[in-house]
Amino acid sequence: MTTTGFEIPIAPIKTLLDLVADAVLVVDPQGCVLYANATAHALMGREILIGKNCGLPVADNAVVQLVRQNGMVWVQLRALPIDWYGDRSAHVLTLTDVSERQQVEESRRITAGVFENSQEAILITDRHNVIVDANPAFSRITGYSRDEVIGRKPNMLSSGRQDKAFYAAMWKALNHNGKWRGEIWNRRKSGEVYAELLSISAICDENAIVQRYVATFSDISHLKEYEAKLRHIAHYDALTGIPNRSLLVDRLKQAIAQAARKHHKLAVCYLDLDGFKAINDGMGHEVGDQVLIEIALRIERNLRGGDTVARLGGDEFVVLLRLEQEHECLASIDRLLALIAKPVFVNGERLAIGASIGVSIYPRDDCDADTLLRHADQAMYIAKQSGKNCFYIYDPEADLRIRNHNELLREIQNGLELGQFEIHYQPKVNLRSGQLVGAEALIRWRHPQRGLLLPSQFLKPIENTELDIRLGNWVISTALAQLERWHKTGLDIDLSINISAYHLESPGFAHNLRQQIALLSIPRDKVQIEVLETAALTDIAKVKHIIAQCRQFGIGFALDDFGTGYSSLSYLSRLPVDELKIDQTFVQGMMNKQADRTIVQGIIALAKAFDRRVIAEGVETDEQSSALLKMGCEIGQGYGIAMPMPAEDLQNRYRR
Amino acid sequence: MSSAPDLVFELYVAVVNDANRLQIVELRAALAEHFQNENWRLEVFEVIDSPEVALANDIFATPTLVRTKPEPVVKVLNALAMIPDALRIIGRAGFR
Repeated sequence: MTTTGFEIPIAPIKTLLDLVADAVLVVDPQGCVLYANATAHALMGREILIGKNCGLPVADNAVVQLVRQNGMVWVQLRALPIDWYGDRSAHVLTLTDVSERQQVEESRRITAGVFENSQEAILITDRHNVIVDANPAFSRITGYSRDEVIGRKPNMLSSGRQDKAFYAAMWKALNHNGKWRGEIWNRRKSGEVYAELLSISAICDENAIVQRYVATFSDISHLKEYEAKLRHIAHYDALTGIPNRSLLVDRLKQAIAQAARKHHKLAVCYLDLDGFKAINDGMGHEVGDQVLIEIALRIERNLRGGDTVARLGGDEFVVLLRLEQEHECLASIDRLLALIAKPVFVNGERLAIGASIGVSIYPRDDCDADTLLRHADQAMYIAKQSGKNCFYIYDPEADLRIRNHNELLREIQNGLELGQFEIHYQPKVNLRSGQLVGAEALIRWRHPQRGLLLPSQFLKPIENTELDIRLGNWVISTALAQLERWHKTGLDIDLSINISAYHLESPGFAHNLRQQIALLSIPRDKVQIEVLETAALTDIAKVKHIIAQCRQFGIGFALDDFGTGYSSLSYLSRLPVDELKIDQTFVQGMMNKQADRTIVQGIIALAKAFDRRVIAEGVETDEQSSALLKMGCEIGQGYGIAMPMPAEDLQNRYRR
Repeated sequence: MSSAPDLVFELYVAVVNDANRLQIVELRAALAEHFQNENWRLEVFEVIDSPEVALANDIFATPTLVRTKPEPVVKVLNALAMIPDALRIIGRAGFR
């Protein structure tokens, strides 16, 4: 049977060859295909092979890659000379598909390459944790050769730094999850302990039975060293080497927790060096730095174990002292002051340094670390102001009082801005006729939470402050405006306004009052300023001068709470006041106590002698009114006559 | 100005990699020595990503060294494995 001039095998052999799994080709001496079986067509991905020049092989048993439209495949090429129908220089070629084997080998080569060349150590054990292989990186890191470790267990590397519980947890994770990752300290062959980042995986067979454990690790000793350096930088002062603020706060928190647990005490001593700035500025930073180092070392050397000294920056240090009893604190701080006060010698120069120390003591000052530090800092400033080279122990109760005081000042200021203050007017009447002769303006605070407050509940804290003046000015302007309204509506009465000594003596008081009165239509001699007798006596010359200035534009003056200030007759004669107001304690006591009655009589007699008007405060009963009249006091005020009331109520009541 | 080469060779490889880079250098050296008096050129084709050229030129497997000029075209399979044998086949076929 012949086709296209090429000889082909007889039919049964052709069929047989087509069934062969390998490709079979016959080529002539130029490499042209004379015969190709069915497998050859399939494997090479070509329909026509006969007559094509596929090339001559140069070696038997070579592995080549077939070029195909749909991807290359690896084949093993075998070539043998064959007598092909008389052509003795023909070759028979067989091609065996070895792609799968190539891939496996390639994969093995890659794996072996990874194993051999990995920078990470790889250690393989059998399921009994006996080492079966180790790569060069393992030997490089541990110092053990492959032969030295095969047949042994990985615990030969153990440093002893991890306890049994650690390994138990590791094996539990490994058995449960099939993997474990963590940091571990092991020991090299040289004996050196090193840190490694270790991953272990369990390799299982198809029945999920562990066959191998593969451990990979890298030496992270240098990272650990770097980490330790960073930790040191983060927690220690670069100049002195003692803890910095960050570590101090940590230790303070721990110390507080321990003190709370063990019921001991803790002193937080905030130190600021006295005289350091002068050294730093005058002798340079290098000398300043030497001083700081010396002081830090001195304190550190003299601390008991468990106590801490830290540098916060600049010339500020904090010392934490554990105390069994609070009184130990004083001796410790004295020692600290003495220690710092010893001269420092730098470059042969004798330098004098001191310290101001503020102390907060836990649990007397029962608060968190930051607050204890802040309180110690505040106390340090007080020590500094108290003359340096001394200490001050923070007093939580005093601080609370100060904070409450400041809070009240803020509230009053806000209240003034928000219109929470108002004035009530207490009538002054003729005790004989009951006729209204005047009113006393009395400030009230309509507090949003606490209700209507009397002056005694809020004026004391603002004494001698700018707020005292602001509030006083508000009272004056509000009361004067009210007086103007009353007079316009025909209520012709006097008005008295209480003014503090601080306000009265403030610069420009008389001038400001004159300006305010000038802006209103108020008849002369209708406004009276009431000053406490006690206040008027503080600087009598100054008060006298101011009273005289005000009297020039028709302002009258009364001495309030008269009888409580130990006025001498001499003072009374010098003060140009128009009226004496008998203090209510004498009025209320005069019915039962002869002494009070005598005082009341005396004041009335004094007023007459010095040609002053007299008015009784705190009149609560008709008997008191009658008695006062008998003694010669015609005017009175008090709850028995009328309570202080809003302006409208007073107008309505006395118009009828 | 260089004239058109008398001999043109084409080498088809799946891809130029670390394994065959040195062999290609050796092939060039062998060609230079073998055809030292000839004007020759060798072009290298990578097949794996673009088999079109190889398929069009009836290249069946890599590596294959082809002499395209002078005719007749001669192809040597697995040429890089046995460079001296490959050159003997290429050199003897049809010219010289």
